Amino acid sequence: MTIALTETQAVRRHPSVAELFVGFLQLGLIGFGGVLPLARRMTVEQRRWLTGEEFTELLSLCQFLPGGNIINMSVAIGLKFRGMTGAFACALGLIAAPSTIVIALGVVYDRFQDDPHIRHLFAGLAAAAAALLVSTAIKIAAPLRNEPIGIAIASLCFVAIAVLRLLLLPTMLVLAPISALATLRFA
Amino acid sequence: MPSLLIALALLFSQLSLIAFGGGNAILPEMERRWSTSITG
Repeated sequence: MTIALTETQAVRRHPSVAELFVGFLQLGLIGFGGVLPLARRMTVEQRRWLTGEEFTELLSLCQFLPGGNIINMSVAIGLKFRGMTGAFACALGLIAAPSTIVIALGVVYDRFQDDPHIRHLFAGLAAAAAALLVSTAIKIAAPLRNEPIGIAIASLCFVAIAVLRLLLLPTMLVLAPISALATLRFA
Repeated sequence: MPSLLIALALLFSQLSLIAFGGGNAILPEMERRWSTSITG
């Protein structure tokens, strides 16, 4: 066990700012449909910048904070190794390629949006994106199947946002404390 | 154009502040505010 730990520590590396930028640039290029699983593989398994526990701890913190989880995660990882410079390098690396691609696609769409082929292409992409969202919602909801309180809160939130079209912030401010209290009281 | 850019920056700064749990959480709010504040 001691030997294994020593080996793990020995192969762990502290990445340079350039390595952080390139790593997250590559992640941004290949992360279709979500980057988090790929981020774990890169930072923990391939490059050994973090241990599995460190990754999970950082992810928990980043999920609790507002903003995109993976953006928060990239900033946290960059900050951990190279301070503010590292944080900017990671965030910039992560968003550079997707932003460029989206801007290029936007220009193409703006120019050819009246072309029936392009309209059909985007209709197909929209259907795929909707399916990805439904799939994510099912994955997120699955752990709640044996928790009636969780199901009730999730259903209330769905009705408030999707049916009654209430604002997200007040809905969260009301439902989050109710959910916490109900879980403490009945769970 | 500058006012539109400012409106977009304000819209997405507000949305990022309430995006607890990730970007998917704010998609309905983004759609609603987009249709009322930007295109509406």
